[in-house]
Amino acid sequence: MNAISLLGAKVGFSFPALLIAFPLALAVLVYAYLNRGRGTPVVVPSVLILKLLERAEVARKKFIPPLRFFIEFALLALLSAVAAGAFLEGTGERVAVLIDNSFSMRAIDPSSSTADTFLEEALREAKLALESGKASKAELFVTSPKLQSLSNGLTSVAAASNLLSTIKTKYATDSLQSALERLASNPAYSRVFVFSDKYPDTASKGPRVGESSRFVFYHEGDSLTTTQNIALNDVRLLRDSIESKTPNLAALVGNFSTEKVQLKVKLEMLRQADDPTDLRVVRTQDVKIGANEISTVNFENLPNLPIYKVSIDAGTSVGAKRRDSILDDNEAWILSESRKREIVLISPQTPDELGLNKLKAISFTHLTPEKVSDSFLDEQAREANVVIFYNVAPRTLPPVSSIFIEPPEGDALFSSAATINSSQSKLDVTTWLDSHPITTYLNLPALSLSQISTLTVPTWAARLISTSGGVIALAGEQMGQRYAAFGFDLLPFRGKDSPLRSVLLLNCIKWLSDLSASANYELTNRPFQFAEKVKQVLDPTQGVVTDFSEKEGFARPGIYLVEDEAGKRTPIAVNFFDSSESNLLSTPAITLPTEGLRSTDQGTDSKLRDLFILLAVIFLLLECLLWRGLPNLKSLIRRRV
Amino acid sequence: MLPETFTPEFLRQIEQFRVQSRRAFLGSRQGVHISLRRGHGIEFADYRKYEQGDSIRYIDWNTYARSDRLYVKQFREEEDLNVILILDTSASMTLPEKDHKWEQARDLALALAYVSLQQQDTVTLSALGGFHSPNYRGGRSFHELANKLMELKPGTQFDYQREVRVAVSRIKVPGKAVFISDFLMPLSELETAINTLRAKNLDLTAVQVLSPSDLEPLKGMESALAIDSETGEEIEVALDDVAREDYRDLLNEHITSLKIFLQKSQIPFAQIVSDEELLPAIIGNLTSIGLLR
Repeated sequence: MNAISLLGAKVGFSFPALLIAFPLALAVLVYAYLNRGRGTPVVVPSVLILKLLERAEVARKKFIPPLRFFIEFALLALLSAVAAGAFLEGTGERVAVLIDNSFSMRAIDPSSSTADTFLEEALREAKLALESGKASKAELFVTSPKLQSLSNGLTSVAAASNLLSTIKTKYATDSLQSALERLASNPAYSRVFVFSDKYPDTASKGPRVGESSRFVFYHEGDSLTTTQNIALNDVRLLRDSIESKTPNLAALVGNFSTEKVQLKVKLEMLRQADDPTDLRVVRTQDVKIGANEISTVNFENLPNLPIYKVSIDAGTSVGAKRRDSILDDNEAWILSESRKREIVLISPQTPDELGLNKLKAISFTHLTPEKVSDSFLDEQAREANVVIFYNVAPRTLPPVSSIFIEPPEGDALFSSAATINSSQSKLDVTTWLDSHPITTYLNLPALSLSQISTLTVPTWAARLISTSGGVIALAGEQMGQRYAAFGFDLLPFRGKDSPLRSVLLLNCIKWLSDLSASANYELTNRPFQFAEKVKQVLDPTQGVVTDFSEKEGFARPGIYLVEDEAGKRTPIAVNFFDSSESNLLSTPAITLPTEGLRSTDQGTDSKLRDLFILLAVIFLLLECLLWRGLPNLKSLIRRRV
Repeated sequence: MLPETFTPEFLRQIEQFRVQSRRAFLGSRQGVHISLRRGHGIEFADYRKYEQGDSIRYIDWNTYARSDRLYVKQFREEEDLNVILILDTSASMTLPEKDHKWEQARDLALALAYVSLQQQDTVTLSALGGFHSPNYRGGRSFHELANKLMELKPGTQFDYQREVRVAVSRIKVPGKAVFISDFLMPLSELETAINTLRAKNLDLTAVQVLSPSDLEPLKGMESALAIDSETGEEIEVALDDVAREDYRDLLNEHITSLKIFLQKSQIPFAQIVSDEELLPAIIGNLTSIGLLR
């Protein structure tokens, strides 16, 4: 029971469970009155004189409560209501409690004598803030993996306090700023308590900021003590050619500490995903990384093994522990074989004819232009990662990321205009967008162009490569999809025999499909796309994974087996890389929102509780006076007389 | 069988006492009490004219010398006294057992009966709610009376006023009556009972026997459900120091009211507590009110 109606007003309770004290105390009171004076029945010669006493009462067979009973009953009811935190609905303070449970909150507070993590400290402070404050209702939020209400709306302070123990850190970033903005816009909360390892961008840097404002920011950790960390930022499997079977592995290691560190980087291999504990060391390297630097550690010419694990070890000294506050970002998994990506090729020629069969990591579905219908472009194309239109172009942008290579002249999308040059002189590349992922680090003037089609750049696209004749490459995003168009031929794919075009094509595919650096692992808390229908996901050591969904992805890093309907199991490596969470040296400041809307019925905790306390004191005084003070006074007067 | 108190030494001590009456009553036999009758006792009563046949030993020669007339002295007859012992045997006299209130009252009645029988008085015992004895005379009848009293089981419930009326109706010859009770009843009921006794023209003395529990009830208890031994009335009572003081005051008020009534009725009153030694109580309390000399 969280609220009752009392004389037309709705009375709520901050700690409704404590109301159980009232019926228990009432039962004891009734029992006491039923047995009052009956503790020891004694037969006396005569009650002639006894019944004349002030404090004597004729025993009644039926329990007829005397006035004193009702006064004590009222006293009990009032005290129970006060203990349960009674308040008038609509007048108590309603607060939101936002707990930052992002990855960085796993860090052990260097100023803590009990090696508590930031999250443990935050939960402790949140519990105190709830139970000692004036809030009558509270809603509990967490920031990661996305802003989420754990209490599903405003609830009693006691219920919200109990939910705190269920909060765990996630392998995700905090999105704290956007969370604060959303809470600021909700008028339901008179105050918002924020518990995070981040700082608000105010002048004050104390443990609690903004006490008098709507947002009260509790900073975990000591502002004078630097929190340091060493982390793996990324791992990539690189091949010097698409056909190469001897990959190189690059591990990006970040030393987010104030001192130079010496680390051991260990590369282990796993023959099969069924037994992740059967690791065998392949190589180790000792590296030195400067303070607050990221270094790339390369392992070259590796054996072509299915699964690799990279881990870093800073040692077990006190100093090492101080420099590495989070250990969960010290290892990563990577698969040797990346999952095949599905690309649809719409072309008169087959993928083999265009040399695309050399791209082992890509599975091509070929469609000739005649077989492409409008319905395909509207619906079926969505199932592909990328569509390559070779020498064809639809009338409208398809709802899937697409590459348009040499669209036909006068196409509806890019108004391609053919420019034919003499084969005796090549066209010059005049400008190119060096910062774009497709064209970055490429020596584009070396591109030999003899025949081009200039393209009209749509408003949503950027010019990638321009020549004296016009724009010959563009790219951009529209309606959540990426598109790139080339007015010169990138195919057939010749690999290192035509390096610039090959890299351009590969860069383009990579950028359009929004792949991770090597497509050899997934990231936590990202939607997971799988070619087949997923039946279940297994953790090789713990069985079926229950906290996985294709929409939400994997909650934790590790090696998993994705089983499809046919029973086939595919190993998947999952990692968490986020330098904003691993780099504890430079945490971005949070801008506290402006006050925002606030409910007009806010207020300090109701006066109802104070009124109950006052009434309880009055009843207590009345009871003492009527049943102790007055009888003693009468006796005194009688004796004096 | 006699109570333990009645040792040969005790009996020798109380033999020295005499039950006395403030008034003269007609006796039935020779005794030690001045009777209303004229006779040959030692106490001068009156003169009358000499009649032929009178013994010349009783002629008052001094009066003859003054008046030349012959007068004889008349003396009061010394006769026995009818002593009626009225003993309350109600339940209140028996509780608590450890205080021996009933035993004290019984022993007091027996002591008075012994004294009376030794001085050749007639003793009648009315145990209210118990039995009404025949007249006992002579020292030898003491043991018979004692046995009857020792066999009595007090504590029965009875109609108090009715029993007093019955006791009064059995009194054929008025005399000295001693009413032994705790008198823990409403004053109005006491007055009715006393007046019933007074109507029989008795020389009434009231002796109240109380126990330590009557003076300080429920000792050591802070609260209790007190149940009246006679009426069954139940009272819930809390007894702190203040309440105990109040109780003592109220008990004294009750006894004072009783004393005032008895005083107005010219009835002597004595109080004995059951934890007192009987002989000193007899010597101290009963002689001071003139019941014994």
